[in-house]
Amino acid sequence: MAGIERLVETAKLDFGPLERSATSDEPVFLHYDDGFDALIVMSVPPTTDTTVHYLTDQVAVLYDQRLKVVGIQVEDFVARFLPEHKDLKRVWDRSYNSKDVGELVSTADRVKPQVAKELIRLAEPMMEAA
Amino acid sequence: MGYLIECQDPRGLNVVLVAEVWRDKIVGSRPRMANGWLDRLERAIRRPSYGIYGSAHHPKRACYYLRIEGENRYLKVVVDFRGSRGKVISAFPCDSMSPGEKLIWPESKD
Repeated sequence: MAGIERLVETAKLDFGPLERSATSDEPVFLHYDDGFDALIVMSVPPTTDTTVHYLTDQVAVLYDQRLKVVGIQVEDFVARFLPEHKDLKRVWDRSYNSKDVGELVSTADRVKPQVAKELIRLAEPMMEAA
Repeated sequence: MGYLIECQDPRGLNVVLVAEVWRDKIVGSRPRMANGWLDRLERAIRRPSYGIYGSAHHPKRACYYLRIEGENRYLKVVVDFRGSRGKVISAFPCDSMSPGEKLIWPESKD
């Protein structure tokens, strides 16, 4: 077997919820995993059952059981993604320091929503192209 | 540092899951995986459904996929190897492999 079958086509996914969260003031949830170097941004609580759907080798969206896209996962986030996106890197550097990386937090109280919004903005062309 | 899983993959390489990684990283980001997914994780390593895949950008990583019965998705387990010993660094449900991953060990025939 040359590869693993994609079980859900991108065209079946509803990107609306994530796109709306980019312009909303609702809290989002961030989780940075320093061991895997992956950032997860979710517009719903992390207790939501989600599935990862790769758009590229770095960027994936997370969808719920109704196929609504409610999050983004970026792999190789610090090693590869940030150096390629200077605006996001500036926001990230302002938002995080070493002591809170890895926390799962509501971002209403800090500048972290900017990270989420910038990330969603960057991912939108990938969603449209997929 | 306790291990929740110590097992061998189909190549005979040892793989461990450190308790803190399971608690803080895997369940920490996806709390629903606390229910029933630990057993699936071990099965994915011992007997992946479609062989073992290598990462395009991380030559020391291996990815194991287990088809979840009754669901339209897989469990992906990412293992970082140092020599013949690997540590699980992530695991999550997904519906496809990551583009760029290459088969490095074939699917079991038996």
